[in-house]
Amino acid sequence: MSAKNLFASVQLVVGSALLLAAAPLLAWASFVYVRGEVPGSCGGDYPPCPPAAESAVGAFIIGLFVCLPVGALLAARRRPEMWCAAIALAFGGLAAGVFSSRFLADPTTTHLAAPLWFCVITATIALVAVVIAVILAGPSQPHAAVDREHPGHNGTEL
Amino acid sequence: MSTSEAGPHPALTDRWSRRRVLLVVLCAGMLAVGACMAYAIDWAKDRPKTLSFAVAYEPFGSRSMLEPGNARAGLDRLGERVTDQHRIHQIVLDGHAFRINVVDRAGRATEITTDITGHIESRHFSTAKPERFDDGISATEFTGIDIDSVLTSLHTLWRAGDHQIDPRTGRPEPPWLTLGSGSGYGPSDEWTFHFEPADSSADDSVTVDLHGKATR
Repeated sequence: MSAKNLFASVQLVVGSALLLAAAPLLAWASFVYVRGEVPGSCGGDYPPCPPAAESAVGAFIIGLFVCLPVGALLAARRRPEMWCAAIALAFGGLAAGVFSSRFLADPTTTHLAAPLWFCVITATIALVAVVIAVILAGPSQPHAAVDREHPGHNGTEL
Repeated sequence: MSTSEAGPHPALTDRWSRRRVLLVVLCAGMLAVGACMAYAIDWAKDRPKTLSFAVAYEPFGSRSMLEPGNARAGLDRLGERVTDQHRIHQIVLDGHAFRINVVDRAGRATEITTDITGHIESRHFSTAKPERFDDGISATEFTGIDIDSVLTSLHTLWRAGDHQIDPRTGRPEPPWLTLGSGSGYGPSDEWTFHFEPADSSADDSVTVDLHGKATR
């Protein structure tokens, strides 16, 4: 494996790992937020913050603004389907967080429409992204054609 | 991983390699989210908000202090805090907490509360008319209470009752229990069982003796 190949593989592995971290981070953030445990203002002169509030805000910022974009950029350099995988993981994480929070941890019978619609829409986006990713990763890719023409030079695929 | 020179169909090999990587990432993501949510639900089950919902839903359920096992554990925890220098004057038990008021020989009153998570809290307070030490019951008498049979018969009574509905859950308002009739009298040998009746003009309490026999 050439240095270039190795570098591309490392990019893919690191990018995928970051995407994998982003999904549970976003799920945790939405779980705690939907429970109503992230007040608008807390600490200092305000009432003390609930124990999970900081972790939820931190998970949201790190997940959405660090892990997700950096992971997608790295992983998608050679694998464009990883953009869709990133979207699927992010929306899947959000849907799982809201669903677990509202329907599994705190089962209530009132005000169900908003979280239910949120779950349906985010889960649908995630599913569509998965389908697109699988199609993108499927046959008739330029890399496959390149490989057939140049069997000895299989690009930078893992 | 893709060894296009090895197989007879390099394009196919390549395709499966890409798909496999994608599917591994997606499946691992699902597992990670699932594990995170399992942790989150476990973490949430003893949070005050979850407990309040759980108790409103199932006043005698596993997260309620009115569940006989939880009540027994709470009673034992409280009993350990009561020394020979104290007498118990009032006992209050609801889905959220088990609370006793104790008084020492000097007439100083303390309220001790425990909840289902095992958290226990003492608070001293003063009253205009202190309870008399001799009117209370000792820790031995307290831990000797047959809480299990009392709660079992109260559960039956509560199910038969006509209750006000909690608007948050659409369920009947949970009940609560007291033992002891307040200032100057000390604990009686009867529990008083309270709930919010649908008709608020109705009598809202039922008294139950320590063996679980009810009288309105």
